[in-house]
Amino acid sequence: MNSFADLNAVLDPVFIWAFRLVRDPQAGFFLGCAYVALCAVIVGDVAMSLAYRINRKAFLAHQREMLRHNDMSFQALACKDKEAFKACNTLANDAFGRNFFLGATLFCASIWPVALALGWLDQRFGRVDDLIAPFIGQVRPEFWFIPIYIIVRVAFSKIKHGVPLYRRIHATALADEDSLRMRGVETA
Amino acid sequence: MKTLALVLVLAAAMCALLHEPAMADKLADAIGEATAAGKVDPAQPAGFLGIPGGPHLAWWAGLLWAVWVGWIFSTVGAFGGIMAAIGHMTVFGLGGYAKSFGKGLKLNKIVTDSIRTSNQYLVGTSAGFSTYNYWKMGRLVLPLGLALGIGTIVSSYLVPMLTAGKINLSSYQGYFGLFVLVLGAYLIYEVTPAGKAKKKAASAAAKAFQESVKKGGDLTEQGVKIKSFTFSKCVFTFFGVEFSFNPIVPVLGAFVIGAIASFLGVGGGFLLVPFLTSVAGLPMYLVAGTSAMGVFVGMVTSIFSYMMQGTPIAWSFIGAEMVGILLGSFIGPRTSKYIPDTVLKVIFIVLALYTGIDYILRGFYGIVIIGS
Repeated sequence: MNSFADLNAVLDPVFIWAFRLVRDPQAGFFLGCAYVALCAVIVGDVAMSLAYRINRKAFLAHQREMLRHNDMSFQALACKDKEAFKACNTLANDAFGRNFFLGATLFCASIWPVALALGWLDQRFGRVDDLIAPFIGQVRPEFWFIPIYIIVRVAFSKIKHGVPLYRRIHATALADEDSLRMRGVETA
Repeated sequence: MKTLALVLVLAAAMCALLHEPAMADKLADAIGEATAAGKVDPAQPAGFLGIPGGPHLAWWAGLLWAVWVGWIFSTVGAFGGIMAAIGHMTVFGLGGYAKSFGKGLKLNKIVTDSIRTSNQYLVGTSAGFSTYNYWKMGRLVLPLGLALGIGTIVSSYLVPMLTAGKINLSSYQGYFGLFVLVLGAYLIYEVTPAGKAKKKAASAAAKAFQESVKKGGDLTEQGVKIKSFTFSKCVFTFFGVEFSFNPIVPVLGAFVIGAIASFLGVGGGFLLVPFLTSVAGLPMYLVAGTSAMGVFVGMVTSIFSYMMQGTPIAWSFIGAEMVGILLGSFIGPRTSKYIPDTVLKVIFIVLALYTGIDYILRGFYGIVIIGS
């Protein structure tokens, strides 16, 4: 398996059946997109959890450093010490930079399935002439898939906390989040 | 419920922006034009973006290069975006491929725009992640975010609109080289005694404050309180301490940074945060979240503006690269303890100077030092 065509050939039987569940091609397309979006959301969510576990030490170290300098800058403000505030702020800014890019890689863990799904959709439906939208006319598969993905992702985020398996998968991250006072406002 | 409504509005905006019925025709027209010019052989198998005879990008090649990009992201940060672009242009041969069509053909510009947008996908995702996190933490300053949003939206929409389909690979490579050279110069400054002294002074001042047994203080005046707001000056208190900034400055700063980010296909966040901490003097945490939102808004605008101009994207390749970035980020934190920060910076200074000079000479003057 060298090319993306080979990769899409592997993905094809995993995805295409959902597009054929109903006879109406438009309804089948939306149903299929919802299924592909759900696959992308779940795989991305699990991948993000695994990525967090693997890099937990680094994430925590960066976040603790960032919070420490940030809290210290608030303390300096509370004491009306503007110079100390600026110094702490500079250090917090450096820590933020490191945290920012490490966070970017974590986000990649969550959305790489979307890119692969779009690649497959593009190959499968990119040249379909009767893929249309009201008032607009012919559109590409992304036109429908991206909003469907966002809706599925938001819906999944609403229900996932009630799923016991989800809490087990994300237990480490959720506990860390609480310990880092990431829920709610801590100092400001 | 509010989140869902917000997301649906965003989705609706995306839908409107994603309206690109001419995209397939635009690429097909460009291929037709290149075929007529004898630059494309329609008998060849479809390669990059479905162009006959185009480079065949192996998924594992994208993944392997992105491991290196991810390693940089997780060790030195911003330079990862530069490396992603170098991969697209040089390592995967897309730059040479675009140039092979000559300056006059549309296909040159379409491939160039695809490279620019692909870079943004890889480096701009961080802004999305940070925005969500800071929003969850209630650390987005709306007035400042609005100012940044205006600047980034205008520039992120204007740049693709004005340059998509007009910038050939040589020009893009030249400007990109200039940007890398400036970044290299900044890295040099950071390792000089003067650059290190600033950080040392900040560390000393912070340590002194920590040890000065200043505890408590008056925490009754927490948070941001706007005292006065005019078009030339915004005065606010934060924890009772007065700050002020000119509201025009974030708009202009975001416009310039957004324009650079959109034109070159880089994230922009690493420029916006230091800019705002030094200009507005806001606590990093407030600036970080707000600027991430500004960058994210700009990135989404820029990407979809390119798409409106009919810029095709190699989605699967981006997916493979994202997996690579993730794998690289696992390696980074495990190797950074063995490589001193200064050594890392020196490595990237050398890389930045070499890449910057090479791209400027190739792009603007057609001079090749090493390679083809």
